[in-house]
Amino acid sequence: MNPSEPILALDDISLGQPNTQISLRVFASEFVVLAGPAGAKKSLFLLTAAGFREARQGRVRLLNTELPEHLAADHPSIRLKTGFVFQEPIFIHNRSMLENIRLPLLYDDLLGAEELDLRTREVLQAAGLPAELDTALDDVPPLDRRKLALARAWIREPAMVFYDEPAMGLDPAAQKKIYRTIHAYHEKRKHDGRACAALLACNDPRWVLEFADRYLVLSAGTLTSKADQTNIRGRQSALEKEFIDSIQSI
Amino acid sequence: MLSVKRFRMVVSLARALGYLLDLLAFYALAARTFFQFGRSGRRLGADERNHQIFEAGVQALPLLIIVAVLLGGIILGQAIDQLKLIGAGESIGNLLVVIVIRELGPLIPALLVLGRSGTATTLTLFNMRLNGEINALESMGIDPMRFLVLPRLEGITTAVVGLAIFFNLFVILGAYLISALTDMNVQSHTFFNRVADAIRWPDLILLYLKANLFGLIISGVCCYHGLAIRRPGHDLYGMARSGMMNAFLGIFLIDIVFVFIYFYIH
Repeated sequence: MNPSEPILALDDISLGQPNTQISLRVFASEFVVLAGPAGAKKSLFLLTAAGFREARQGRVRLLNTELPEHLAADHPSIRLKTGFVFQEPIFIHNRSMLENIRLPLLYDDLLGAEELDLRTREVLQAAGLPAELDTALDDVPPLDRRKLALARAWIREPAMVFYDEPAMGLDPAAQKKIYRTIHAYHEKRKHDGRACAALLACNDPRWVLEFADRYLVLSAGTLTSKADQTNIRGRQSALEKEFIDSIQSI
Repeated sequence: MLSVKRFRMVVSLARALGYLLDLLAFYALAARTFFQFGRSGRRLGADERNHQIFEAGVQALPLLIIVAVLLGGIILGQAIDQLKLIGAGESIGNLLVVIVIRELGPLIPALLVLGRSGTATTLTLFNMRLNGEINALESMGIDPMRFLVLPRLEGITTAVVGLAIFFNLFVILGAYLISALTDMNVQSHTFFNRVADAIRWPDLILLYLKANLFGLIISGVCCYHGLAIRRPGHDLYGMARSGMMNAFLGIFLIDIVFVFIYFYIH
């Protein structure tokens, strides 16, 4: 894919609110943070951008494929190159932890056993999980469930990952850990020359602003760019305060 | 003017027709997925299919063998007096072929699989939908039709066919045991020769076809009830019950169609 072309291009899409249109471009290796108060339709926005929901109006272009005429479910090629982390990680109940992580690759059936093991070890390490996963799925603590969801989204080495509040419900220290893990993964991919874009939605941008390339706020159906690579560094405190003030004013 | 009663009847008929069309669309989608080119999901699906064959077929085998032997004994035990009355001891073969290979052979295994695995299939898939596991699969680009439905269609159908073969063999064995234990005084080679003489190729072909169709009905209807219906208010057990009842009805409808086919052949 041409690096000057966006991986994700949204043109005038609507989330249902009248007279609101959202446009956005995300390029390879960009880490875009999308904050917004609860109920701002961040999840709907991500689902639409990832091709799981049909846009009510406007154009969605993901990995050179025009949506919504062909939603991503009908486009395996898109799913092979994108990952999605839901607010609540859901796993297949009759499969082990390891099988759950490897499921996308087992389904694709494109890698040999050695490559599969290597890839699994890589994502387990990237997600901060032990190499030997012997705990039953039901006994996995919440933090590790989040890490499992990350590992599963990364196992195909996607070109873009959508994160829908990946640390929701965790204590602040655990939230910080999850966001740092995500950041470290994207940095490593960039460093290895296999950059991976990220669009991360969160309620509280405190833990992610320090490594965001761009910071957007979604509120009342409108997307506002608050900072980009040129002016985000050193302004975290001000941006956090602005976000908290805006929530309190709602 | 349309009375309320007649209006309700029309609504019920329309619902039944809608259900049938939905079900046909579900089978068409399964067929399209089956014939789709590509290796995605084939190996994983094969593992799941083997698991279904084990659960629906192999695990049901001990019970099926006991039922088959007992039923063979029951059929012959009940028929002995009648056969003796009319001096038709030589009709043992024909009797077993007509009752067992044509009718009970595929029917009893199908009903056993429906009771053991049909309901379990609906409940499993319905739970997966409720828990969001189907959405999770779709988000990973894993087609639930290929990953969950096709292996069940293949596995359960194979299980019904395999069980039907075992059932026929053990019913004949049970019948032989009863004939040997009673005063019918039939030699083993005479008994088995009479059964073998009575079997004709169309009987075996139609047995195979029937067992396949029964398997497809059980697995398809039960998967459909677990996955395809999304109307709110449908309770889990109601869903499993209606899936089982509809598959049950489907089996007997197919059976009656085969009766006409037998008539046509003869």
